[in-house]
Amino acid sequence: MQILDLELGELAARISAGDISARAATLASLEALDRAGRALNCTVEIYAEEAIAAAEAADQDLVRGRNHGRLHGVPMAHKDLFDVAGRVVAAGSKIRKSYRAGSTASAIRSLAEAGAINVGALHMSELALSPTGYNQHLGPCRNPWNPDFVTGGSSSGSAAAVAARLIPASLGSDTGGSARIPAAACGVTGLKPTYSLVAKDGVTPLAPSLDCVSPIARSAADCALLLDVIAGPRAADPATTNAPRVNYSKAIGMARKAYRIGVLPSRLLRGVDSEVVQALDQTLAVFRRLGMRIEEIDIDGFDTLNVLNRTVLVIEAATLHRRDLAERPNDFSGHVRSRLQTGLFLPATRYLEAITLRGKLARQFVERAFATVDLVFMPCLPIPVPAIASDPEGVSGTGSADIMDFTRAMNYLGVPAISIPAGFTSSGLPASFQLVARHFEEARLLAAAHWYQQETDWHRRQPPAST
Amino acid sequence: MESAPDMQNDLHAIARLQGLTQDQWLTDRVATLARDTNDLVRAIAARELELGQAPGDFAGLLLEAAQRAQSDADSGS
Repeated sequence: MQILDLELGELAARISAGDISARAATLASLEALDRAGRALNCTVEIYAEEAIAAAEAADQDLVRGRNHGRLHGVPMAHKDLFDVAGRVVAAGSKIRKSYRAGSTASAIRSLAEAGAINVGALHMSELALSPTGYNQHLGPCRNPWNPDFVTGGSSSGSAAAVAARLIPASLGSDTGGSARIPAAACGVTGLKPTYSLVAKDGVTPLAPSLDCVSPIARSAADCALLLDVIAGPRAADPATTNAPRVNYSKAIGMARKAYRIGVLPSRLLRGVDSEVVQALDQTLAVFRRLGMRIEEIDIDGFDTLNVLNRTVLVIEAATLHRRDLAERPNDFSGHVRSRLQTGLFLPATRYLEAITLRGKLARQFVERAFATVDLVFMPCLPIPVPAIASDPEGVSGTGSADIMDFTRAMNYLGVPAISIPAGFTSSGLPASFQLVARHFEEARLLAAAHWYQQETDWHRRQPPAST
Repeated sequence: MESAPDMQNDLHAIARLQGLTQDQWLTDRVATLARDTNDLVRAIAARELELGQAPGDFAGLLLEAAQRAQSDADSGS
């Protein structure tokens, strides 16, 4: 078995045991990012010199009996919107191409403190504004299952690099589906945590009220490990002050429980492609085999919540970029400029209404959706993965109905949600499903996903374009 | 319903308020999407907003949930 075939937890254990050196793992990732990563267009920057030096130091420390932590010597690369001191962090844009970070984001620092080695920065949609991964400046990131298909976005490079076995895990971000959709399209696992569970200082914002730092890995167990390391209160982000401290890896290792899983009424699934529905049905059969009780829940659709998410998103994003829209409009690509400008033409009263209603609507959703169940099951990507040629102008996700129909609402509600591989459609691209939990119930979410992945091997399938 | 020229005039007036001097990018599509979104949110607010609601309600909900999650984690449930 190649080093990069190992999942995050396995690789970390083998490095800590001295079976594999941090240097060997890091060199393998660096080479993979340089070759396969550039072929897929998921590599933006490689930090070779610093990464090799850090890996050699990790190996020397281990010999001296000093283990840095649970990710000792493990190479990782992240979406190009996390500040890394001294590095240009362009967020997939021309607008920020000269922005050099003065310090490192808390999330990346937490990984480093646990021993992870940052080997580079990965492709993303311009300013995190495209659910297909479209980027006019960088060109399209290619799906490792078939390079003619989109990776999903905006954490396009993170999902592609994990799927292609260039790195065992990555951090992305999610404002309306930006981690879950690419994870779904590339056949890996993507977790959007509860709003304010993970610090997001030093993360280029799209819409601060909705943005969540999001682990992307091959398995739910690996997402749990990452969450163990990055979640919880951090002084640099006061929003995390009350975040609970939970050992997620321990929680998923506990005895299996017969969770009650809620499914959406069929009227809410009318727009979902039949191949996706088939994958969802097969997934439910697995959950039944696992002893889970499946029942239909009674909730309204997501239309209202999706509208409110989009309103908050475009107004906050327009506010952040207003000066550049005035002074450098030509440095945005057309679809990004158009979306941002929409936010400039909405009154402040609409924004405050959307923000004010969030507490009431989130409480209502939780009370209704979870009245009799522990988790809610639904599609993630409601259509088969689209071809790159189907979105030549990057306009997907800019209208009122789109591939984020089942993901956007969760950011407005602030609840945690995970996308999990669930087979393949006839095009040979991954199918997926999504599980949603109450606020801060990531342990339950990850446990159910982990048990599903003990019964299936979709998340272990290897795409053709891998190392 | 506003006519297209009226809508464009409104759009350009707001663009100036926002400091946009190069407003040749403003299209009917932007105007339509902004107007539709405005109408939808206004209707949602008319239906859902109640006296006593505040932007801080969501933070309160998160605090309750965080305390419950911490308690569950501490008790191993």
